[in-house]
Amino acid sequence: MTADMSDSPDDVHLELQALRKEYPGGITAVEEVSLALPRGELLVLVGPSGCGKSTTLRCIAGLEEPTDGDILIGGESVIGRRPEERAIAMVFQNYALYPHKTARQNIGFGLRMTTDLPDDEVVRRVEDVSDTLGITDLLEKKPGSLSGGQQQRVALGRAIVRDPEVFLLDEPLSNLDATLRARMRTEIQQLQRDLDVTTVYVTHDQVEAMTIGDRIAVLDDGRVQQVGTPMTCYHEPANRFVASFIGEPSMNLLDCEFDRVAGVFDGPVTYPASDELTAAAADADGSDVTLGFRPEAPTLVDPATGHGTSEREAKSGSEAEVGAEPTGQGGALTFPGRVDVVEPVGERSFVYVTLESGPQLTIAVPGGTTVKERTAVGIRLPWSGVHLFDATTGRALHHPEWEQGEPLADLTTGGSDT
Amino acid sequence: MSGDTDRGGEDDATATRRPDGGATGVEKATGRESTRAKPSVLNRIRAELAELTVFDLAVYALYATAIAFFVFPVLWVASASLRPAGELFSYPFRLLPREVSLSAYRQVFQAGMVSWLFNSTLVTIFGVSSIVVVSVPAAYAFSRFEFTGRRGLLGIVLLFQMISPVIIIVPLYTVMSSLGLLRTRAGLILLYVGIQTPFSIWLLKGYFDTIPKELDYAARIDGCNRLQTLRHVLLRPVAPGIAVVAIFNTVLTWSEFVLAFTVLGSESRLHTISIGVYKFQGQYGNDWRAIAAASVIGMLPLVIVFLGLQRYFVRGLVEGSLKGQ
Repeated sequence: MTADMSDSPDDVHLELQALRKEYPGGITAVEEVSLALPRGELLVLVGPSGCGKSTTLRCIAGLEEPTDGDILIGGESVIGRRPEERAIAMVFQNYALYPHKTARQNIGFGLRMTTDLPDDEVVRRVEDVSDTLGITDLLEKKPGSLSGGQQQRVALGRAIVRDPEVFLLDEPLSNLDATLRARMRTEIQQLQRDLDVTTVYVTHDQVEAMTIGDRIAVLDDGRVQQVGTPMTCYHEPANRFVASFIGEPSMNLLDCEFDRVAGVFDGPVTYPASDELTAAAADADGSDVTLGFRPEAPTLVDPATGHGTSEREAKSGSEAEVGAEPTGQGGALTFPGRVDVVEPVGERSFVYVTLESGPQLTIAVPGGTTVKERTAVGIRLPWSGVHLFDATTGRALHHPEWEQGEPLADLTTGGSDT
Repeated sequence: MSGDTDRGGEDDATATRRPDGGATGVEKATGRESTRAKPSVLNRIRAELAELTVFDLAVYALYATAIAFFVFPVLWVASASLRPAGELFSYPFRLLPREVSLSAYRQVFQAGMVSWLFNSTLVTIFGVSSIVVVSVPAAYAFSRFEFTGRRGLLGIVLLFQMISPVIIIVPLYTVMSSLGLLRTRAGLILLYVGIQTPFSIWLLKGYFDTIPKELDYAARIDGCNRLQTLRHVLLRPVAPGIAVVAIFNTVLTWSEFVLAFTVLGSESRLHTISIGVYKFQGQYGNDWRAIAAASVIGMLPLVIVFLGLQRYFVRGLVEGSLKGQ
């Protein structure tokens, strides 16, 4: 639904057109970034460090001038405008509160510098905002005597008091501890919905990106790799990079050669191709492809028989969504390995399995399953769990089917309407 | 005699107040702090003394020696200045004056101390404030702006610092002479600014570098231009650095002799305190009592300035405002 909204150009509020940023000395931080955000959307820019996400944000803010490309807010180019003329507000990773000013002065400073509002109006607005954020009793304190969460709220207050058109958040949660981070994440999300302000949120944490974003834009090497809803990026990664970056633990990737004659993928494992996979593999530039599957996709089976072990049976219930197994192919779809380590995390455990041919895979099993370390297991990977990528270009060739109308996706879009 | 016992008592007090002298003392100090429930001062001192290890004692002994080494000349000068004429060289040698006399001070004031103090104050105030006014924006620019030749320029600034002013005093004299700046306070102030600015820029740049750039960004988003950012946002966090620069330059300009003597020359109406002290050593022999008295008077303003600004040394203003920094 959110994806559809971005398709209608009338609604576009913030737009980046082929943004490029080079630094003197030949370093290119942003190669080419094009994005369009409808009004009120929360877009998360996510990527590993050095992918250009913070530079992109600073270009939007006007703290850096892009080398090339255009930035439009409400249909007007803002290139060359000073930050305060762009109707943006920004929250920084370290909050960057003015250390010698009280919370009240911190929040009101922007209003005093950019507007000629009378004093009592500034006071009124600051108090309104601190009321919204629940920091009224902290207003006379200086940042040094505030806790991390309180500083974060003051920083948010400083941003929203100016009633910005576009809200820019640069890793706002990374300085908080885990509990507070989860709470502030919800709070920021709530605040963003209430204010209905177009927001660009930068993070390197893909879990944060998945949970907070209406849509996420995955960046790598200064280029947008994929833009889509969190679920789309998870289930239909556009390329190898997105596949390995989104999802925790990340997708298992096996480089194989596709043998057209025999119809098998030949690599660390020998894996027969279904008709669908055969057709998809034909799209590859060469015969080198990458098989990908989420840790949840395969099941562990008895290595000798290829049939489900007791663990397998215990797990069968939750495996239903992975899809029907191809009948008669059970043996061929199974490859042998050896359990290295089992990491229980509660509701499920991650089993690290080394294949005889070398690579290590991560397999998720339900929490109650007993898997012994240093024992042989079989990994049965159904066709319905296989992604296929072109090994040369990284482009995705095939994704397994997934249910688009999942409750989680519904929740997210439903939330944005209220 | 009483002075000696006083100092001894002071050392003991320092010892009990600061048990963190040795590496072993730190942990103990915190442990002690938490377990002790408000005993009387006497008990506390006794407890502290009981816990002193040989290592602690050795450290304090070292402190005491170092303090004595630096304090003794000061006390000796003060003692010398308070003697009546002739007592200084009497035999046997005495650390403390037999009778206190202010005659040396009277003599010094009659010789023009007020004028010297006035000149030194004037030169110091204008010199130091000019140095701060020049070096703060320069350091800000060096720390925050990316411009061509930034590194080269910084190197050149450092290079100037490496040249001792005494070495270039002859060409400086010529230049000052042709500019008509000899025998003027402005000329001396300009010289001080020129010589001290490079060091001050480097020192302040270091302070600016410790302030996160995000503060600048936040200020720009809040609508500040560069100068407003400096004035409203960065000046306060960098205040400890400015205090250091101010104190350092105050000490230097106040007590500088060679340049002052060269520039001001025979114009005795403009002479500063350091030239004043020098006047008491001359062809008739050195009047040590007067030199001591002039030195004591000359020291006092520096002590006052230092006490006034020292809290800025201690307070890290930016501390705590930015988490994880």
